[in-house]
Amino acid sequence: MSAPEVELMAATRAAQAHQKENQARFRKEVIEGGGDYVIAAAVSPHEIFHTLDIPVISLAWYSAVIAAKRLSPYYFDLMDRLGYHDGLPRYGSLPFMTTLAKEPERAPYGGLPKPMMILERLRGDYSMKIGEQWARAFGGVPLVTLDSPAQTELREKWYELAQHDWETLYETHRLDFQVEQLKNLIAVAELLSHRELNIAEFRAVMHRVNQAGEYVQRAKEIIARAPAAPVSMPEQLTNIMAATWSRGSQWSIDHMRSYCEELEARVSKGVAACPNERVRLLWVNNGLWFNTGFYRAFEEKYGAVFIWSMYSNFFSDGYRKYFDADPLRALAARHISMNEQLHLPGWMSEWIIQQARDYRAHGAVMLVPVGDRMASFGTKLCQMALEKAGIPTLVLTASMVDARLWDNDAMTRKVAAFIEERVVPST
Amino acid sequence: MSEPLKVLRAAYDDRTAEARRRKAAGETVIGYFLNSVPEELILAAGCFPVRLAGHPSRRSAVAERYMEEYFDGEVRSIFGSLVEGEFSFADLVVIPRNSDVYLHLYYMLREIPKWEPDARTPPLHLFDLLQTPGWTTAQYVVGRLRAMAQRFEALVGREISDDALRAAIRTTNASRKLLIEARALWGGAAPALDGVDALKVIGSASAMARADHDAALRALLANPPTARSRRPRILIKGSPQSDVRFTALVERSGGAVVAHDHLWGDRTYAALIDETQDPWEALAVHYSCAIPSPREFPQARADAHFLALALQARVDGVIFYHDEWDDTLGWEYPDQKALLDERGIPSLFLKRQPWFDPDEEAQAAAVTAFIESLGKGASA
Repeated sequence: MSAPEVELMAATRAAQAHQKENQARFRKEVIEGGGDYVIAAAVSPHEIFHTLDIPVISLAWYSAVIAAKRLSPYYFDLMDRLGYHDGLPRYGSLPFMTTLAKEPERAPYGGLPKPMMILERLRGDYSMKIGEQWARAFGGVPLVTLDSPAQTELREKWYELAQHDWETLYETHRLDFQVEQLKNLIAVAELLSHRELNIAEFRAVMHRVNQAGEYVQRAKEIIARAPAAPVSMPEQLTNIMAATWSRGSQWSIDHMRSYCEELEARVSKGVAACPNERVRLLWVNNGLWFNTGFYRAFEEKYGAVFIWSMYSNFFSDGYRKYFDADPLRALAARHISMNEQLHLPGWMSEWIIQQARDYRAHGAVMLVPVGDRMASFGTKLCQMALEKAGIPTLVLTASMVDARLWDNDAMTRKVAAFIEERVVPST
Repeated sequence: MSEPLKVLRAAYDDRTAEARRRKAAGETVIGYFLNSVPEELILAAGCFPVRLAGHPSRRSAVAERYMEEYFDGEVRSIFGSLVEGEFSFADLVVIPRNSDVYLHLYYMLREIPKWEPDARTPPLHLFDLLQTPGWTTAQYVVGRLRAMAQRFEALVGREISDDALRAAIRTTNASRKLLIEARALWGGAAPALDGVDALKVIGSASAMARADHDAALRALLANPPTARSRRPRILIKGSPQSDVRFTALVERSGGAVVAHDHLWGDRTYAALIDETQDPWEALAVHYSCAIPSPREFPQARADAHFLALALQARVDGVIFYHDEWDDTLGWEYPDQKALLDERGIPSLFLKRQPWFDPDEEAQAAAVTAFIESLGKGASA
């Protein structure tokens, strides 16, 4: 089972080139030039550093790169040798292990040099422990942590309230606290970098994130309504994630505009990622970063495409925060409940069911991560909710980053059987 | 067996008995989990506080249906007990967030009425404790304390005064001081109680009326049992020991458990609440920073407490015991083992131990071999 050959989108090539430019800049300014950079959790306010023009290495992105280069087994073996037991979270610990390994030549892009600071958004009970040890392993760098105050009420349809009515949705006492945390973070960042946060530029960054998010929404509508998906899931991921990591830049807006125009052109010409598309599937929960080819493994035989993953349009539904006066409060609202929207029962399932309807999906494949239980919680209730909504759902239990635990043949058989037995009969 | 010890054991063995009796007598009962809910606030509201726990024999079909296997076994047991009405005697149950697993438990319980309309879950309140120590977080926690107080006030129909809160702090501090004094009974030079009874003495404090527990403890201190025979002195560290199974196994295997470092252990009563400060701020600081927690930060401070406990109890060995789905304590283990190695204190690591039906044969074999390896260095 393999994917049909369709030419790569120009936008995809542009996103890849942009990524390479960023890597070249990182090499020149940080690795060779000794400039400042920050290691930051994926769900954290990169916008502050984008405004300060300080490069950010996202933990999740670097983990995904390590996994994609199939280096994770080496670092997990190291973890075992150092006495960290094999049940500990894997996703967030890979970048930390590249520092403990002290072999920068083995790590992607020559390893991570000593950062200006490590920024952790606390999720689960272990993030601070990893951050503390990692800061020490670098020889002592500041660890800045952002706590995550808990949502008291999970209001229905968060995705309809999140862009404009976020003050009500996320609760005032939580936003008050989050704003205080952001003020502390800005003070530390300014102190360490000897730079000042330009308020006008920060406001512009925040507006540009919203503008890029509008294009992500447009991309969703194009893909969802097209007779056949004009783009494959791996290419969706490449384009959306490039814009996500560069959010707030003019490049992200221009890129998403070009991406949308190319999608529309493809649709009008009848170009499809899978010309014999018959089945649309959702990929639910985290991505399978070390094997993105798996998303296309069912196209030739079944005409089955993965049409949506949570990365497809979270930029539009989760990131956009419109504001009149206070960009800092809007930034507080952006990250305050991101994990909750993606992983809490109730919030998670209602959003995914809506996506299934919007994208006209026939079924869902849900990854339940091994070794990152925070991302597994709520998946049973989500599966039940999807089934109740008439969406057949298959659960695959696997690591997001550890290729050693992935049995490709067995997983392919499972999905194939699911398509044959549950999805095709219902189409 | 002495009468006071019998009273304390009975309270531990049926830890909701007194709460149920009080509820039947018309009192307002507030249940809670873990060690981070301020009992002082419950006492100041005039309610009866009871710390609730899971039960290892209580597997729940409803938990199996809705909860991922990666939830701690005790949390799955608690979920079953809450949904199936075993804690319905409580007027309110407080779920503290000193672990994010309990936060997820709270959200699961909030979702469950959609799926189980007949669920008998008592009213719930989330106490949102955060992780980062410092001024900004302390202010947030004070706000959450005030919000929780309003919930209690609505239950009883009267305000909680600062004076009542100060009085409650004095009451619980007095109990803590008694427990500190009683520690010699199991952790002193010549222990009179084994590790199982130590857990029961400590754990019964959160199941009984404070005055009754204090009275029983005073009586026990006044007339303690005779000292036990000499055995290797062991500290158990790691995941919460909310029941006595593993401690009893260590004792059966020839060890004397003289100290516990976990959420039911010796550090739960070791720190007093500052009686000279604003009571709200004092509670926020105490329950955020001064109690043992899986999220203690910085690790060096938590390790210093651990090491002090081990040295004070003059242990011959330490057993690290981590739950099957531990994703947190394992990060600390390499440093903690190194600290012990530097001081020549041997240790045993039992990782990923299931809460339901652990392999006790394998545990006993490992523990027995470890205790035998301690050999003649034993000092108890």
